[in-house]
Amino acid sequence: MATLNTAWNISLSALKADQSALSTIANNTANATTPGYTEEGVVWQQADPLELPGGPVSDGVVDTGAVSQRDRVLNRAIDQQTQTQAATQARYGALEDLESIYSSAAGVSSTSTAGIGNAMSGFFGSLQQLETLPSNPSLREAVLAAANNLAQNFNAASSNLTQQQQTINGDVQDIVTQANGLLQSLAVLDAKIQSVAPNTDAGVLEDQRQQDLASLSQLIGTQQTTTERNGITLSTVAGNPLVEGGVAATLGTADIGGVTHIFLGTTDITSAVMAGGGQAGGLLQVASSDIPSALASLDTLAYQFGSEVNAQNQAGSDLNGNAGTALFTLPSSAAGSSATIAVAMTDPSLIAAAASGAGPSDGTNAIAMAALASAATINGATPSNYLAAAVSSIGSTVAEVGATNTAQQASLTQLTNQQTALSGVSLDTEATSLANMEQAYEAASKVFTILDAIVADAINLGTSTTAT
Amino acid sequence: MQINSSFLSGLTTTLNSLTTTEQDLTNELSSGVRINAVSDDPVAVGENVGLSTQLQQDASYQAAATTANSLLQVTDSALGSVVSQLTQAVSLATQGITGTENGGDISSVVTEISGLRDEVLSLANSTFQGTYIFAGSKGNTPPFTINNSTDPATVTYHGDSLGSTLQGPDGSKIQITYPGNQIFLNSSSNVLGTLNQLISDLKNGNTAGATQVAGTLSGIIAYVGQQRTTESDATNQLTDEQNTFQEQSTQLTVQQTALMQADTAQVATSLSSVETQQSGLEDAIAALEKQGSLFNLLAP
Repeated sequence: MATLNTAWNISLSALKADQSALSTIANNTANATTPGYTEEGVVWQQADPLELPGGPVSDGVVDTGAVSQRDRVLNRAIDQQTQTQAATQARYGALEDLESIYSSAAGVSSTSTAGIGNAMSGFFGSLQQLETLPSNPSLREAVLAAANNLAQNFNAASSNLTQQQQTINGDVQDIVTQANGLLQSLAVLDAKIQSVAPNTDAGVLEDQRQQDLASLSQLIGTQQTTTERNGITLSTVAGNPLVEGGVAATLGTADIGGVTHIFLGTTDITSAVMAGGGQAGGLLQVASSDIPSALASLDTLAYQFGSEVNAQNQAGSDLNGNAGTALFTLPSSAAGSSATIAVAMTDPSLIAAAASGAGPSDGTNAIAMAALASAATINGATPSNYLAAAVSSIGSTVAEVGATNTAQQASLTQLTNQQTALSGVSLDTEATSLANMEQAYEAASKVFTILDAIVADAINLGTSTTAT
Repeated sequence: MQINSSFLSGLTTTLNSLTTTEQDLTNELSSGVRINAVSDDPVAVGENVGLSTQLQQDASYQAAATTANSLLQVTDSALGSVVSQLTQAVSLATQGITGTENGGDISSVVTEISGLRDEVLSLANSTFQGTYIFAGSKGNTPPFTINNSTDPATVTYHGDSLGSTLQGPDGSKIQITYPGNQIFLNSSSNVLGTLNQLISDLKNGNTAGATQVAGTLSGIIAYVGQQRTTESDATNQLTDEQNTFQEQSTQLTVQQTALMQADTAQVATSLSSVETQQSGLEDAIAALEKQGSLFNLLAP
């Protein structure tokens, strides 16, 4: 049979449970803005009833401890989406820098001297002037100056691209350093979680692990697998192990052909990292694909344009009646042409404006050189059309990646909103819980006070006394 | 499910993107160009490269054509002078022949006609910005020299028979110089040779010869006049080309403006609506912050 003592115990358990809940609320409120903190929920259970003669008797409430409001599937989805989006965003940022090299193509001024397009027009324009007075020294000087300006524009664009590639290489190295730190930290946390909480949520430790995974997802793309005892393994998308059994791998870097490659021991995992995403994935794609393809189209333009001009100059006679020589120095193949193209002559009389064998004031060959402006000599396009197509193509890539970035960002925001809704601390909810618990605590203490009075009555056999 | 408690930071993100849009629009207004980066409209930028190139080609052609025009004017005035020198020579010769028949002194007429011949020779050696315009492709050296030790004196041409042309971006060709041998030493209308013959005949008292040569000279005047007409046709053709390219430039500029220019009214409208949205959002954030959470309502 239940006794007054039983009731006393019940109200005591209520007071304890209320206090524990209040502490959870206080902790949630304290960590409302802590990054990575997962809201903890109070879990109460009815205490097992006591089997007494005369029937079972309730024995109050038990607080089984706060539980983090975590959805591992959702968290993993966010990590995946973060990797995809970080890759796109990093690529977008790098491509925007790349695009700025061509921004003069968007200008509307026809007098601007900036940019390869304008420099090329300037060169052909100077040849057009030379047609009128082919032996005039100042017009010849102007052709050489325009040729130099064009070569310098090619060199500058090429060097800009190479510099960007180097900047990206440095960024990738920084990312690898940061990723190595996170991998170490994850391995340590994972080992702790496996020993402390093999079967339950590890609370703060899991918060930290989740936070590290989120940071790592920004940097490189990985695959997560949950193991026994609440652990995880991390590997690249190609299966190269990064964290396994509480041990972290160390990533290394090496320069291969001007692009930073990432190594796991002696294994080159660059393509796996590129496919996985994260900032490293996006940057590696720019360094190993976008920049080389932009450079290649500049090289093609510089090489084929230079070769055509050289051939034409060699077909004519210079001011002194000698056969023309190459106007531009070029490498033996297109590769590296934009970086190294230079004007081969300093003496303006070497420009072969005249047809072979004609006198110094003949402009037949100058006409032929100027006509290269409208000749479809660069992979079947005129120099200007080839440049226009190259600029358009880069602009389209940037626009496309920008649109993808926006879409992926929206999707990530949606997932993050879901996560915050589940795991974030709502101050309104905490305030309501606090008010609830305050009242519950008051009620329990009231019950306790009344029970005290009743017990005193019982001791004094019906004579009311003031309980002390 | 509780609502996302971090919606305030979401609002801030929206506010940031509005500020970016605002900056872009302001850029468009201040530059007048609707494209800030190639990726804003890659196709239009590609087209613009072509348009700019064409505009620059047209501008170069205009500049070259202006030079060519001056060159043709120098040629024209030289030929004009040649015609008037020759006319004067014919009339002096006629006077001289008549005068000799009347027992007058021929030597002063010979001197005068020699002076005119030297004048024509110097016109045949005319230069434009340092280039001998009647030298064919050998414009760096005087094309005509005279040897007075022979009788009649002989004139040698050191140039060649190449005329130079100006080619437009459309491939149109206009001849801008005329080789001197064609004008001054043409086998059927030899300007300098005939003048020398006239001087020799007058000096040697061969009035019959002189009379015949003076007649030939009148035909030669007509020939030089014809050459001058050809040259002035070229000038007209050049002016036509210049006008065509001028018109084309105007059209290209209109196209380029239509392609690249920001629609000021539209940009201003967008800017104003972005600003409205921005200030609305700022008010919302301020109001939400002021409201705080339910904690504010709890009794202490």
